Amino acid sequence: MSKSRFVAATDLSTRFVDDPGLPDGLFVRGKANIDSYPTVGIVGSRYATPYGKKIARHLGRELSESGVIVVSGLARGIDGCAHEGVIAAQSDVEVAPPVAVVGGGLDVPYPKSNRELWEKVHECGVLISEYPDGTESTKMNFPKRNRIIAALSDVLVVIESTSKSGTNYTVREANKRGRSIMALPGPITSPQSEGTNKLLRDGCAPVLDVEDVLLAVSLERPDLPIARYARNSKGNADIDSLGDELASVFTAVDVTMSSLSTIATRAGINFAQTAICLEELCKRGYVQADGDGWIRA
Amino acid sequence: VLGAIPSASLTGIVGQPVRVEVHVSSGFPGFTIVGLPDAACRESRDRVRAAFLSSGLHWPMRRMTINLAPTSVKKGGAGLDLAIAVGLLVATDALKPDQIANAAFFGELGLDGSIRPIDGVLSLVDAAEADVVIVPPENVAEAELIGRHKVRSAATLSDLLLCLRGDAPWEFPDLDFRENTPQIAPADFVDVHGHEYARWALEIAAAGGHHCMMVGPPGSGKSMLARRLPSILPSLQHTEALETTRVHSVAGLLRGNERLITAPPFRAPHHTASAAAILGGGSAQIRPGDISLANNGVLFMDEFPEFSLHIVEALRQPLEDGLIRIARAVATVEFPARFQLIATMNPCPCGEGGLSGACRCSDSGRLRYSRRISGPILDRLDLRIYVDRTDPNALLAKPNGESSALIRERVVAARQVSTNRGLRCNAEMAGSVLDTFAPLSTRAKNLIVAKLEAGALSARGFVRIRRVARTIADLSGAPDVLSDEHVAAALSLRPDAQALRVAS
Repeated sequence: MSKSRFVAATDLSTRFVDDPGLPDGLFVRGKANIDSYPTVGIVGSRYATPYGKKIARHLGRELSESGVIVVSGLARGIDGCAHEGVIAAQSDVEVAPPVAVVGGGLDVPYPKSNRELWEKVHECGVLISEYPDGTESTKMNFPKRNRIIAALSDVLVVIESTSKSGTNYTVREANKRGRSIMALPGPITSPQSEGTNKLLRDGCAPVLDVEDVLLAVSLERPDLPIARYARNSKGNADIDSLGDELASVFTAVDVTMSSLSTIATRAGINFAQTAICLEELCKRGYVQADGDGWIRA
Repeated sequence: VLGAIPSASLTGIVGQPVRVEVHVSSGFPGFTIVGLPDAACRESRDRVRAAFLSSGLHWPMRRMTINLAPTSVKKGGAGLDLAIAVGLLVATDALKPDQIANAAFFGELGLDGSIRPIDGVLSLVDAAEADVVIVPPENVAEAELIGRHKVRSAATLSDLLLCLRGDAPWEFPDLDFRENTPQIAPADFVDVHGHEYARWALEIAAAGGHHCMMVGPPGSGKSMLARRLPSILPSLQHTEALETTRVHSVAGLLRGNERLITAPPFRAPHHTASAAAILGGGSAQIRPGDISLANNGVLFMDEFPEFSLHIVEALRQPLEDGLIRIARAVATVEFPARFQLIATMNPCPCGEGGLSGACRCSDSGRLRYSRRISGPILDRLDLRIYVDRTDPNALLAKPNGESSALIRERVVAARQVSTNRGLRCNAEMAGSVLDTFAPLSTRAKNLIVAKLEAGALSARGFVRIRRVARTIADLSGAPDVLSDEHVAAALSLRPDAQALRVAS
């Protein structure tokens, strides 16, 4: 494992110039020309729902393919998923590299389950930390790490956050720096969407599509061109082409995990029939099975 | 003077014929028992003497030796008391040999001369090499179950002496209640609010005899549902009933003239129970554990991951062979242990995992929890039933589900179909006969092939899916070929689903 370099913060990105309350220098592993791309921070809860994770991956991939750097914290949950999306996009030369800001030494992957992702980010992009090698990641470091993410992002997208999430700290820091903030709407019954839904109520722009983010980025940074606009939008399923029974079962499948019994009750048909409809929907890619339940794909 | 009385002692649940030989001779007065008696058996000496004196019988002041033949087998318990006493009566000429010809004796003596009930009469009588068996009054009904012997009984030693001499008639105890009708009505499915899915799945489990795992958050009703399973199981066949009664008798659970157990037993050992309590064992006398008491019934293991791992691993043999072999220094015994395993667990340590998404467990906590479940055991469970919390509306409404009796009718009909195939239940269907008994329709085949190709189904899972699909088809009265609907339903009760997912 290569040792990390210590560089002046302003050498890393001009976004750090005149920034209040940042360290002068940062530890860096890997390389990326951050200033030649627009940047979007994707942040969210560590205890993410399958919905949040899916959107984080989707946005990570689409943004990266559009030539927008995704900045995130490589934590469990939303952060990791966003970078998974970015890494999945790294086949093309035109795509933007991943940038990760972490809360510990750059040679101490945290959480351990993200070690592989950590190495991939190092290969394709850059890892940043204000802590020297060997420092263990502790929860206390995360809020400090979050201010660097906020400083580095032209637009901040909050995928999911509870009312007390550390993500709220990132939002405050981004606000302080006048960055534009966007949030993903979620079910009002989901605790993981409480924070984001409040942001939306308070006037923050909603993310319904990757294009929404790209538009915000181009308004924010007209000086930095976007390589290309994403081809496809949300990829919503075409309900009309399904038959009556399949459509009613598909409608009964939620964006959060549901058990077969719940789906059958909502659809109003028996368990065996529901099971076969789910298998069919699964085959056609409309839903997916995960553990004890089903969720929209 | 020599008397030899047939009796029997227990090894496991099998009776071993024992001949009690009594030798009375001149010499220094004394009383010895030889032939590997255990402590309780050796104490016979004092009980027999006291019983003799209390009954006003003459206690000979001579040298008396009791030999329990064959001498190589260890004899336990007080069940030989009566045979020893009768042997002494014969040896001292209080009884003539022809008065006890062809009779075997079983029973424990009280100091007052009363004849007390003993455990395992069913097995002991079965082993008796005699036409007439004399048992304690409380054990008469049980002894009658064998049906090969004339069963006689007396309440005290002096009564017995009179009857044997022909001075008093044998009293025939009331034999009206031969079957064990449960005193308390078992829990019924009619009281269950909602839970349509679990009802459906448990009906399949009952019809096919499938082992299953119920997963769900705490308080969702897993145990409540599992306790109702026996109410929809078919009654035991006569041979099964005899076998189950035998085990219960040996364990001392049949008391007070109890009869044949015809309802499938339900055993729910606590997770802190010792290995000997669950599997069977003990040092002086090897006793059947819960898995054998659940023979032909249900073994319910609530909070499965909390059971100690070596106990769970030891379930492999019983799950495979339907019996457990217990080897101790004293002896090696086999107990029947063909049970239907119903296990429950939470989705994660905090219990809020699974579908609600409110889990706050750490990754390492979840991992530890998942490691507590043995893969090979999980492999033997055919069904995985996710039990959701009941919808509040269903909880407040009047329960409107079917009664156990209705469900049971369908279960019995489905079991009959598998009996016609020569199987006890579909869960025991061997892989080699699957093509004969569970052929797949083209659409069903396609469905399974897709799963196999996607790596979502293992070869073992494939066999289990077909067994479960067979049961589902049997329940719906479908003919031979399994349709895609049956297979999809079986797949939805996914046995191969990952026990626990570690959040990424």
